[in-house]
Amino acid sequence: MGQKIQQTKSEHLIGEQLSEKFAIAYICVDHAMRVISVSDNLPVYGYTDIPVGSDISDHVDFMVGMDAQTDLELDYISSPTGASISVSLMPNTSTQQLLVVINDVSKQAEQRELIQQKANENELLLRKQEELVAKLEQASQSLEYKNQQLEEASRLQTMFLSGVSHEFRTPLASIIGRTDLLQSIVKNDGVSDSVDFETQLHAVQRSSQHLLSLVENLLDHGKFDSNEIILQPKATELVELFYDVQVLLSPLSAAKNIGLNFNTEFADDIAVYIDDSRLRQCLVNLVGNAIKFTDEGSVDVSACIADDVLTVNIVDTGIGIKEQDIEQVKQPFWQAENTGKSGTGLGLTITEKIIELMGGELSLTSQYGVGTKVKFDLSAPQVTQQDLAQQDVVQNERQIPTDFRILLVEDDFDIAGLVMLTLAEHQIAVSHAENGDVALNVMAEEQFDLVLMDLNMPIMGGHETVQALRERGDTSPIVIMSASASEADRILAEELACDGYLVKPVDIADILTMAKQIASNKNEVPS
Amino acid sequence: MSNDSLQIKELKRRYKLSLNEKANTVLDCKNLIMSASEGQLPAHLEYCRAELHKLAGSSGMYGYKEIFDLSRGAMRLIEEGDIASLDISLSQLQKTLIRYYES
Repeated sequence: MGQKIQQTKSEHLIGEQLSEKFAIAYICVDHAMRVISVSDNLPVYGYTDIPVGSDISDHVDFMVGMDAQTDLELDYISSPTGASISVSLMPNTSTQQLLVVINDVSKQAEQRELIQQKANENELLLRKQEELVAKLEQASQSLEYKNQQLEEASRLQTMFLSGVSHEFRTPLASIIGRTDLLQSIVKNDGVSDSVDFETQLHAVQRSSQHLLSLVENLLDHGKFDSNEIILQPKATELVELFYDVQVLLSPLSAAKNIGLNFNTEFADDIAVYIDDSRLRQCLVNLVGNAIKFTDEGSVDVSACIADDVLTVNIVDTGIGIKEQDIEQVKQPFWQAENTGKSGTGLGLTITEKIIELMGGELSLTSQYGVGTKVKFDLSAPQVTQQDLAQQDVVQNERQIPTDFRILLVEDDFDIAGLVMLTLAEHQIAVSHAENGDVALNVMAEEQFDLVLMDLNMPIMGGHETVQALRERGDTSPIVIMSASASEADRILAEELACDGYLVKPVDIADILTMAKQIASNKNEVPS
Repeated sequence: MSNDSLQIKELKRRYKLSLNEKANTVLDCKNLIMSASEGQLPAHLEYCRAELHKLAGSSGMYGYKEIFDLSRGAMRLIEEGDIASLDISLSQLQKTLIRYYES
């Protein structure tokens, strides 16, 4: 571009003055964006080798697309050297030139960044503070809720204690009073014209039974709380079961002069696979409750079975339940006020839990002053009379005492669940320890008739556990139950005085055989 | 009618549902062993052996004899150090687990 560009008192002179004064750089271009002049310090910013007469946008990236008429400020852009710069485009309409002033704002950028950082930190702190406040509020609400629950639990427990004391005191007073009376008659030659011995003994027996059922209810409630209830289903004749319940409860309804009607719509020989004692418990609780709260009229029990589902309805003409109490009645220890009836307040709670455990559902509808209807249905697969007969044979053949206790030491919960349930169906109580360490602790507190020990377990394996038990003088019968068929494992088990070695998959019959053998050995030991 | 109680039926149902997860564990074992360096191999084989031991125990108890046999077979290959055959054996075990899961 050898042509000399006319230099008037133009923009580049202003730029030079600015450059000298403030150490800023400049580029002066004409209306066609051709370079007229640049400041000497421009290369400091990384803009080098910009010939006069060349197009500014070929050398300076931020000038691409710009024109000489636009007044513009570009803040905090990055120069080729990486420095933060601010750029002012200052057009002069009279000279038709544009002065591009470049200023180093690195320090300001740093400061700006610091300020931004501080602002971000503050924002973060603020958010954290808000989160903490929210958490505090949540914790406070949860605490308040738990407090309310504790207060309610405490209130219910107080109610329960006073109720249960009364419940225990009444039959106990009856037992003590009647036995005192009988004792005094016995002391006086055993003759009394006014006291009928049989009636008194019958009353004592009834009160004792009542006490027993109270204690059982309390124990059951505790077991449900710790998930210790295990169903023990077996082939059960329904007609017989319902008849038993009717016979058991008839004296109660007769004493109140109310009707107790049972209407069972199934064949005489129908049998289902169900935990009969738990079903009986549910019926006694529900029908007993209906009788307790009915002073006039009747209690009607109907039952039918369809598609392996047993449905039972218990309808009474009793005092009913107030609408606001319907939701509460299933709560443990809850009792309606001013009914004049006592109890533990656990019967319905336990019954509902048993029905749920049996895969069923309990519903309750009531009209205050008119009566209550309780309905439940549960799974009850039908079995043939042949199954029933076979069960009787098995029971007759049973040689394992009812109090025989097994500890299963097994880390695999799939296996533990299967073995425990299967043994429970043979009426054998099984406790479970998930490894050797847990077993050592459990066995320090309790004695077992048989220990079934897995070998490969985390924390403490089978061999190590048996060794520790033998070293502390524990001679409990131990049978190894392992997927390992290795001869070395068998030999080691023998050396540790184990009583047997079963290779998985273990047949439950083999465990039963072992248990029978151990039980019979135990009986043979002279006391 | 099966003699199993409702609870045992439920346990067996849950076990069957867990076969898919067990198939994934077998696949993990296979990948671990096949991608292991020489230094890592013993530890990975031991992990795999322990998983197969568990699988053999539970599958046998739940009546899955084929899975039991395949698990025991794979355990034997680990004991014999036959890694090449182990690859095929674990694949077969994984497919069998999925087959039973989907059956």
